[in-house]
Amino acid sequence: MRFFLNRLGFLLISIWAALTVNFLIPRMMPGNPVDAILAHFQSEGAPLGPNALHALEQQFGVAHSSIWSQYWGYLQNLLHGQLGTSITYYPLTVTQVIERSLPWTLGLAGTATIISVLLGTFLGVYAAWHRGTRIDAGLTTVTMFTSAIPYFWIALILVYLFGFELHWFPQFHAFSTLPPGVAWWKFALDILYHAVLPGATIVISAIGGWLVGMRNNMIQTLGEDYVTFARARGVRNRRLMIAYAARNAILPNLTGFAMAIGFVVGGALLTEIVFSYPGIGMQLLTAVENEDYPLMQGIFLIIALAVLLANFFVEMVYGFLDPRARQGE
Amino acid sequence: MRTPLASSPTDNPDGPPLILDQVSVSFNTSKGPARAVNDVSLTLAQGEILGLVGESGSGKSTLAFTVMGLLPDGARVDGGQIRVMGKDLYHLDPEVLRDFRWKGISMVFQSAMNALNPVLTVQDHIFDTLRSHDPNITDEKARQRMLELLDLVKIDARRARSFPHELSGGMKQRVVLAIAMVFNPPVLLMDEPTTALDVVVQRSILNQVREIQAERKMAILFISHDFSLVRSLAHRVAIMYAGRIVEITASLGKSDAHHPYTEGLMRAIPELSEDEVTISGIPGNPPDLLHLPTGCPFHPRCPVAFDRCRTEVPPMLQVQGNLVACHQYSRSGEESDHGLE
Ligand SMILES: Nc1ncnc2c1ncn2[C@@H]1O[C@H](COP(=O)(O)OP(=O)(O)OP(=O)(O)O)[C@@H](O)[C@H]1O
Ligand code: SF4
Ligand SMILES: [Mg+2]
Repeated sequence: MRFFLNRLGFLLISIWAALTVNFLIPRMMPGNPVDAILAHFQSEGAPLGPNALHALEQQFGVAHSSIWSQYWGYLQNLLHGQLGTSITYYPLTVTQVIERSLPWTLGLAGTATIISVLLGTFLGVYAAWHRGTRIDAGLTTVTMFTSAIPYFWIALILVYLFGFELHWFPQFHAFSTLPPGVAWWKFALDILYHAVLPGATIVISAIGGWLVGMRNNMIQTLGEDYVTFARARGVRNRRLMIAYAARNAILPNLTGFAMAIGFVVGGALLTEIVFSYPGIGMQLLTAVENEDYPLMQGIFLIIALAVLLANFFVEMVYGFLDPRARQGE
Repeated sequence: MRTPLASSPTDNPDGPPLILDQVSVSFNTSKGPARAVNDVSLTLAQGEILGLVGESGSGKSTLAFTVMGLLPDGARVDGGQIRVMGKDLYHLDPEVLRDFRWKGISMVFQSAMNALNPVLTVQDHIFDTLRSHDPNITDEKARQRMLELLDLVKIDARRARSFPHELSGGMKQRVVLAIAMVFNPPVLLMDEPTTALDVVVQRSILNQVREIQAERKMAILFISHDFSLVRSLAHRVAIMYAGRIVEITASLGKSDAHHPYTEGLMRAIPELSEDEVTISGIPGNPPDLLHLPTGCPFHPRCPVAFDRCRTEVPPMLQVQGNLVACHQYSRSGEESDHGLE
C-alpha cells in the first residue's frame, strides 16, 4: 500500500511537471506563434474572429496578463479538457480532434503492441525452455529476420501482396463507407477487417525483439542456482518454468513494456501514414505540416501522459511480481 | 584400482548409503574435454560425516552434482558407478528419479545466497518442495511440517513470510538447510555451506549441523576447502586434488597426513596457538584440467617426486589406517614390480 501511494504521488508530480513544461515551451520559443497562426489564417482567406484570437493569445502567452495568471488559467482550462482550437480543423477544438483520432490509435497500435508483447514473451519462454532444439532455432531465426527488416519494407510488402495483388485485405483506411443504418456488428467487422494488415505489420516488426529478449533473459535465469536448486528438490517442470524461471526473467523486460505501451500513442506514425489510418500519428503529421501549434501541443501532452501512465501501470505490475521493488524506497 | 574400503556396488539397500566406484566426469570445453573428476571411489557409511577437502577447482562441486544427477549441459559421466541407498540414479525412470531426489538424497548448495528464488517466500519454498513430492498434502500438514523445520534450524516462525532479500546470509543458509531436511533424507551433501559467512555465523551453523546429524543420523558428505573446519566436524576426511582423491584420513591429527599434498595443506593451516602465525602453502599451481600431468597429478609440485611418479598413476594404498595414493608408500615393492615386467 505504501508502495502504491508512493508511486501514485510520483505519477502526479510527473504529470504536473509535464503540464508545466508544456506551458513553458511555447513561451520560450523565439517569435510569436500567434502571428504565425494569424498569417496562416489570413493566407487561407479565413480571418479569425476576436474570440478565437483572444483564446490564441491566452494559450501562447501573448496575453497581456502576468505569467502566473496565465499559468492558472492554463491549468483551469486543462482541467475542463480545453486545449485550444485546432488551426487545421477550425472550428474544431484540439480536444475534439484528439477525441476522434485517439481511439483509432489505441485500438490498432495498442492492440497490436499488446499482442506482440504477449506472444513474443510467450514464444521466448518456449524457445528458451526448448533451447538448442529445431523449434528454438526456427523461432529465433525467423524473428531475427523479421526484426532486421525495416518497418517500412514489411508494410509495403504486406500491402502489395495481400492488398494489391491478392485483394484479401483493404490497403488503406480504417473503415469503408457503409450504407447508413447498417448493423453495428457489420461496422465492427469492417473495422477489424481494415485493421488486419496494419496490425500485422506492427506485430511482425515488433515481435522478434520481445521473443529474443525474453529468450535470452530466460536462458540466463535457467542457469541461476535457484532454478537448479528447485530442480534438485523435485519441483515439477511447469512450476519451474513459470514461477522460477519466467517470473524472474520477465522483470528486466518490464521497463521495455512500459516504453512500448507509452509510445503506442506517438509511435504508430509510420503505420498510420502507410495505411492512411486516421489516428493520432496521422494528426501529428498534419499538425506539423500546417504549423498547427495548438494541435501539436495537445498531441505532445497526450503522448507525455500516455508514457507516464504506462510507466505507472508497469510499476504496479513490477511491484506485484517483485517483492524487492515493493519494499524498496 | 579399487579402494579397499569401497565394497563393490550392489542394489543392497542395507549397504552403505552412498557408494562411488571409479567415477570420472568431464566437461566439454571449446579446447576439448576437461576431466574434472577422475576415477573417484568413495563410500559413505550410515551416520557418518565424511569431509571432502580440496583447492578451488579440484572438482568437489562437480562430484556432488554428479552424485545428485544434476550435472549441467556439457558435462558427461565418462565412467564408474554410483549407488545412493542401493539405487543407480543414472538408470532410474525420470519421474522416479525426480521423486527419489530429496527423499533419498538432498544437497545444500555452495551458493546458498542464490539458491532461493528472489520472488518467493520461505514458506513458498518449503511448500513447493513438499507439494512436488506429495501433491495432495493439506495446507495444515504442510504448515506443521514447515514449523518443525524452522524450529529445527532455529529460525523464528514469523520468518516464513519473508522473502530471501529480507534474510541475512546466515538465515538464508539455515533456510536452505531446512529445505534440505524436508524429508529427512538418509544422505545429505553439503557443498561449502558456510564459506560465504563470517566466523561467528559459521560456527553456529556448524553446531546446528552437528546437532541435527546427532539426532537424525543421516550420512553427510561435507565439502569444504578449509581443512581445519572439516577436521572439527568429520569422522573421516577425503582430500581431492585435480579431480582425484589422493588421501582418505581416518585419523584427523595434524601428524596423520601421509600424502605430500595433504602434508602441504596441513602446513597451510595457520598456527594460532604459537606466538607468530606461520602459513606455508604449496608452491606452484594446480594443473590445467585440459593437460593433466601424466602419472601422479601432483608430481610437478611434489617435493619428493621421483621417476615413477611421472609415468604411473599411484594406486590407493592402506597406510596406517589411511588410504593414500602415493608411490612413496609402494617404494618397497618397486623392485618386485620391475621384476614382474
Ligand atoms: N560448467 C562448466 N563448464 C566447464 N568447466 C567447468 C564447469 N563447471 C566446472 N568446471 C571446471 O571443473 C573443475 C572443477 O570445478 P568445481 O566447481 O567442481 O570445483 P570445486 O572444487 O567445487 O571448486 P570451488 O572450491 O571453487 O567450489 C574446474 O576446473 C572448473 O573450471
Ligand atoms: S606419487 Fe610421487 S609425485 Fe605423487 S605425491 Fe607421491 S611422491 Fe609425490
Ligand atoms: Mg565448489
